[in-house]
Amino acid sequence: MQTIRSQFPLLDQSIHGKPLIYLDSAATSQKPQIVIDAEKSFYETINAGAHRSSHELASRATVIFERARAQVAHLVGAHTEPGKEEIIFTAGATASFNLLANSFYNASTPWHHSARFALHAGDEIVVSRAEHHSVLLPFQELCYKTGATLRWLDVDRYGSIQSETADAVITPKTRIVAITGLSNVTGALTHLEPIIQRAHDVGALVVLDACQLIPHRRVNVHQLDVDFMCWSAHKAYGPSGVGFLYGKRDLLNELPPSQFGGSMVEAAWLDKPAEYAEPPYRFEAGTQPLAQVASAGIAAEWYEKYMTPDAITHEHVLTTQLLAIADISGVKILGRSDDQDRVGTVSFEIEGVHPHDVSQFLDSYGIEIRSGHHCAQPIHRFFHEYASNRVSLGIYNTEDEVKQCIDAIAHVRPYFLGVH
Amino acid sequence: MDFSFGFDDADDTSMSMQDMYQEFILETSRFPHGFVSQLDVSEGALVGKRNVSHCFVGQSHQFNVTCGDEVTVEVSLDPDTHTIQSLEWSGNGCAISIASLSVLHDLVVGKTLSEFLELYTVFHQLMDSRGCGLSEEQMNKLDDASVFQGVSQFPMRIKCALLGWESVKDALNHAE
Repeated sequence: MQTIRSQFPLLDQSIHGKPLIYLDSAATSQKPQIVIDAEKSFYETINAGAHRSSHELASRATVIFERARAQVAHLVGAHTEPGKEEIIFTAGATASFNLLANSFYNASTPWHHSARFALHAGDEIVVSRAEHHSVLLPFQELCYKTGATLRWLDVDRYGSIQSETADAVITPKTRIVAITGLSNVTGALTHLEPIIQRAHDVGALVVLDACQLIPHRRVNVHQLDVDFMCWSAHKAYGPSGVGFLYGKRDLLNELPPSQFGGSMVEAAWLDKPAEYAEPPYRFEAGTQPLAQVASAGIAAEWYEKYMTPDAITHEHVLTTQLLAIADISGVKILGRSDDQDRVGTVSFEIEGVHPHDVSQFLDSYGIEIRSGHHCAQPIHRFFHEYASNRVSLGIYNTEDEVKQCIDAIAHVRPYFLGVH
Repeated sequence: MDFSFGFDDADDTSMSMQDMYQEFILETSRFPHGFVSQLDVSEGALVGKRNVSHCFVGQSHQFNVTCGDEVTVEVSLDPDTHTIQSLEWSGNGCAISIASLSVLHDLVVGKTLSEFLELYTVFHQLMDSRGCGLSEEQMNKLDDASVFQGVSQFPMRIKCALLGWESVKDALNHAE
């Protein structure tokens, strides 16, 4: 454990005179030294136009850029051989979802028509009530633009997605199922198998939101048999500014481009349509965030090494410990208060105290947690809350940090309400 | 040369949560003045019309998307003397926004519109003071509202203290 924690320089500092306790990893994780060094080293030694210029420096940048693609592919079990690449770099998970939705839309126009992806009135897209806005909104917009209908899997009383209703909600009309593998509010793991099975039985494509899943579980895209998967580097100990889109190679081959510009085109003319590049380049218009991609590759390798069964067990121990906040008077957990099918992302309400005040109070102890709706308003509405507090664990947190957080939470109501 | 973004926690000791959550603010947030559980926002409400005392009624609904703070303020303004006759509010928010509304209620009822606008400007100056406060004369003008000096050290929370002020200003606009 100490060998992991000591690799994170940011954690070794004080906030308001108290040792920093960082419990907001679901918003963004901290970065190990090697990831920070990789980005810096790229700028200091490699930086040049990858896949563009032909000089030696550019060729080194290209090697590093493609090595990062292979490192990320290896983490999730995607194909990585030249000509079979299945990982696309984006500006973040939100950009990945928008890329996909936009490509589906383009496939629905006469210009880029592709029957495999085209949507029409009468088609349905299925999401869930627990989705992050970055999943909900691109696919809701896609419905509005194509005349398709948005449907959703509902949640049980704990706010967990009811995968057992997949057969009823996902029908032969369903073309796309876009779903999270792990809720950023309740911390609940989705039972994906019945949903993916049903989607494929009716011929629908599965888009997995793995933003929160990847930082807590090893994911193999081919074993899971998802068609597309989106996630970001920065929540899994990588740099900000980089996201990933995995797509099955045969689907990427058929998928029309989303954004247009430099280096995604084979041939461009003034007087006739362009011929676009093969995947993954067709989807990577413009100069990429090269230093961040290089560092994201190193982060994927780092994560693969340290995300061991022991790390999962450690988080499980801390999660069980953290869930004791449910016993504090006035604290209500949004989600399961037992450790079943969940990770250490725990949202809660403290009766009578606004989340903003809760997080400010904890901040004065150097404890950094999230307050707000966490970009997931529908699930908050389900819980009859506008906003909540959220503690989320990372690979570096300790039992002592969780204990101090629980102690601080126990002092919130006495401080603000004068009650015990 | 070592680069630094310039934050040093050793310099940070002045920024204390207790400066913001003054006991007066916490007490006030528990039992705020001017609070009503519900305001009539239906079409039949008196907004833009005269009430039984022939005062003009104005309402404002403000919503903070980041934290969900929500407030509806209703004021009545005497058309002859331009005096604020009443101020009621409903809604929910954090301790800072609730205490600020309560203090506003006690401070501005009985004041004229121009007196309110002057206080509004001074309060904004206080929020811009980065914890330093204003001259003794200006702090005296703000009366109880001067306890929000500590909030001005927390850029993320200034909008909480201002929510009520913006609502009242907007409601008075509608009453004019």
